[in-house]
Amino acid sequence: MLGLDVKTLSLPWSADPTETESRSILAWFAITGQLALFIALVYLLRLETTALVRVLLVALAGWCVHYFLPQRYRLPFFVLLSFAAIAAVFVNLGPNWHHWRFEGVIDAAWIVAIGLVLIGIVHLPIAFGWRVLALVGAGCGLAAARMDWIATPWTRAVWPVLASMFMFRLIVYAYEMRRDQKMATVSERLAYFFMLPNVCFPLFPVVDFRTFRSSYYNADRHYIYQTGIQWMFRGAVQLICYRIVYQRFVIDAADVQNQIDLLQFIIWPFLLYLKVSGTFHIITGILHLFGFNLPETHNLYFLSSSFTDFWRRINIYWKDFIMKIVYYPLYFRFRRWGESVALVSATLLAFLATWLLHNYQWFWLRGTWVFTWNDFLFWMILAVLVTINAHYEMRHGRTRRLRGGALSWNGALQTAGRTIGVFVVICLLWSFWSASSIPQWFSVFDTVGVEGPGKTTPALVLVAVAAIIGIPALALARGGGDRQYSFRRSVASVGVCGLIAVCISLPVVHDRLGETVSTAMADIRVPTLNSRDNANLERGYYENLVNVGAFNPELWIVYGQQRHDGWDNLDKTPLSEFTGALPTTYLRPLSQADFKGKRVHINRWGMRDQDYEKIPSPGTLRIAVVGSSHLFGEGVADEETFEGLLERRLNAQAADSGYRHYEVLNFAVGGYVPLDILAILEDRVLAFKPKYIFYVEHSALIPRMLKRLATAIQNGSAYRYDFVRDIVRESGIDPSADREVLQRKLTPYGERLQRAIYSRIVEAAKREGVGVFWIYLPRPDERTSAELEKRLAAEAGFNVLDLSGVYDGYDWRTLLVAPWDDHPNAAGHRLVADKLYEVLQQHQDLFPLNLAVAPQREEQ
Amino acid sequence: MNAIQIRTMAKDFILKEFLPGERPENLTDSTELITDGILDSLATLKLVAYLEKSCGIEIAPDELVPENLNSIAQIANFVQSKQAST
Repeated sequence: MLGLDVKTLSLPWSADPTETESRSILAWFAITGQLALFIALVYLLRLETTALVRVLLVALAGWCVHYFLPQRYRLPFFVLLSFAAIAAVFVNLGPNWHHWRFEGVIDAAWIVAIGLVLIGIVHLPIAFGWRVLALVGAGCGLAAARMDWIATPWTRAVWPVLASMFMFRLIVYAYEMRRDQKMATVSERLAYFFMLPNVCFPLFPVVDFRTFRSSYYNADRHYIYQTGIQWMFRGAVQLICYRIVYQRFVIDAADVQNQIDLLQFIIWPFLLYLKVSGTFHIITGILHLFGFNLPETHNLYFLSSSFTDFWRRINIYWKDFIMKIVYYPLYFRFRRWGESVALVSATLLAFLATWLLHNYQWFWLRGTWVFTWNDFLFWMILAVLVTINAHYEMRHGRTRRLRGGALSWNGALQTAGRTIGVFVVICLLWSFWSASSIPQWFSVFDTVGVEGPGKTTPALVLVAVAAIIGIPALALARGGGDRQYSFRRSVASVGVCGLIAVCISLPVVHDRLGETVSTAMADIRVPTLNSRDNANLERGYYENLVNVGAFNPELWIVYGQQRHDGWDNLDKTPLSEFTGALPTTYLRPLSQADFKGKRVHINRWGMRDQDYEKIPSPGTLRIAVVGSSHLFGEGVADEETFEGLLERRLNAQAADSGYRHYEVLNFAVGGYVPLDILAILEDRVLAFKPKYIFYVEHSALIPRMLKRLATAIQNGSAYRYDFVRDIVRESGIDPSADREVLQRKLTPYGERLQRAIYSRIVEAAKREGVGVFWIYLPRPDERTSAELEKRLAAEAGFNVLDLSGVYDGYDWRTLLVAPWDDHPNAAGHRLVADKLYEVLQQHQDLFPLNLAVAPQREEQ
Repeated sequence: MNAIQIRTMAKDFILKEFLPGERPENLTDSTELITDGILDSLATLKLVAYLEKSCGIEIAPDELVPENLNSIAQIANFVQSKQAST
């Protein structure tokens, strides 16, 4: 069976007479080795949270033992492993993300305890109807606690995990218990609800209880194990593809300016679903390692040849769940009115149930509701398409083939054509679902007919998409996907590919393979977009659920991503005061609060700085610095900001410069865009009589500025500037339009607006005799060029200083405030202060200070 | 109706309705109908309607599971057990 001629192992326990399975030390090594490679790949490429790495290590250790256990001990052992995995993931939940704490074990215990109570309710010795009522009652109580109406002794990290284990599985389980089936064992029940990989995947496939039981060791076990390994690697490949799409192809609606952008905007949301299918493959793969020969969760869904085919191929477990619980019962109820009526009614109602249950799922995982028109219309449009398709198939049949069979060339070509058509429609529908509003989605189609700047044409893109989808569809229809299984071949191909992938993932290897490979690997390793892009993007239903930890600070800590509890934006803290105009916020004078793990103090003038007199004393050189979060110093202490370090250094090292004292006033506020900076400069900064203004900026700031401008136009505050009034008049945009639509309409004017803002800043400063510097400060993980911003600043009359290369020679990850926050930490601020000092020295012609020679930069 | 008759009847129906043009010998009693995608939800409903009409049985929605319908042999066993119970 295995294709391996090896001696059977002798075991320390007596053989089970019912057991006929072979044990092979070679097969054991082969699977252990592949599993270790898989863990290395997940770890090196950071494909998932560190919680998965921990669960995989538990799985690896468990599997090594599990393989040799007699069959009767395997399921109880799997249950123990599942509990161990929950504990292993929760063990580091504590108030300080730097240290492992054991408070999390209490949460883990609550998950198990609540779970046992829920399972117990299904088995109460009362009528089935009463048991269901009791479950609904328990569910309502938990829902009230989920909405924080009732205080709980467990943290919020418990909810997504508990919900993913019970929200659907309890329904399936109760349904099965209603039928008078052979009683499941305690181990089967516990294994079903607490199954091993669940703790690190809140979005989990709806595994059917009957299938879970019946698939357990229902084939040769080495075949089952190896299939699991194959699926795990398949999942990893999909996650890698997802990362590439996420980093390279995602485009915000506001940036859609031509036909190529439009095609990109339509295609990427559907491609992001690779994250769901990838994680589901990994989940079922892990379950295979413990004998659960579950069917596939997804089957080549990009190659669906009809809408019913799409419904059958994507999230197959969900489809089976809905068929079982909703569709079949409704169909049988309605069929006395005729086949067509039953089919149409049951299909439409099944999709309605799907929509409602997706909201139910969102509630349990996120704790909020997500009723939007996009969401409702997405499911209803899909319902209509599937219903029409199903009705057609009911009347006219559909081409099927046995495994190994092939369609004729004519039939295969037709299938490929239909596949391309279905892919295009689903892409359109998915982009509609993922758009932040319906008007925003429609507005992007204004770009139809607008040519892109490059040589790529829409026809070329469409041909490429048709080829990428059509050729595999053709091959599949011709029987290209059917291959005979061979354990040896599978081990060889997975092992070699896995080894190559792990090697390339090692920095020491990929750094030598050229810049393209190195950049691609960097893209894959970065799990999220940076904060700027995150702020701009709406990423759709599944993106928000697979990354549920990112929205649940406690769970984020549990998952080893360790997001701190106080990691809100500045505007969510008492430090900030919302103005409703421009600038959008001011810092509240004399306030103090914990922000991103540091105590922040605001002086009497509303600056994060020490106290100053409003007018500088004679002999003092005053510099005002304006900018946003990096300059504000998010995530570092008051005395660690680079402007503070610069001030101290100027005072310490420039004693013979002709000035008695230097003052650097920090007017930066996190979240400010150029429009806010212009406003604060005119309204406050100049009143402090600085001799110089340092405007600190990053790259790619126009999209954020336009977003703020759209809001400012809507509330009227932007009309204080004549250049805004001119653009609104010229463009004919409707200020009452949807904000996203407004932002999109303003995008072509982005450069002009930026230039106007810069010019106005320079003019205002020069009127007061103040020297102005525009300072480019890259983010630690900066990957975009600031050439545009530098050019605009220079054209407006700024003296441009460039701090590019400030982080060179350092691993940027070591310079971040936290793994999930791309602001520079204290070490990063020290580098910036040193670099700024160095650059100022080089520009003494522009900045007439008699500065002492800057010492060499310290090694970190 | 004995098991052989039910198998023949079910096989003929599946070949005619869902696999036109397929060689009969390729569809064996153990061919996995649901797992291999021959019996999707619509085909299952069609087959159920046919079995109910031809064999005089009544099938409940919760009986539409792979254990009953995943192969011609399983279909025959299922129909026979239904006939026996009515």
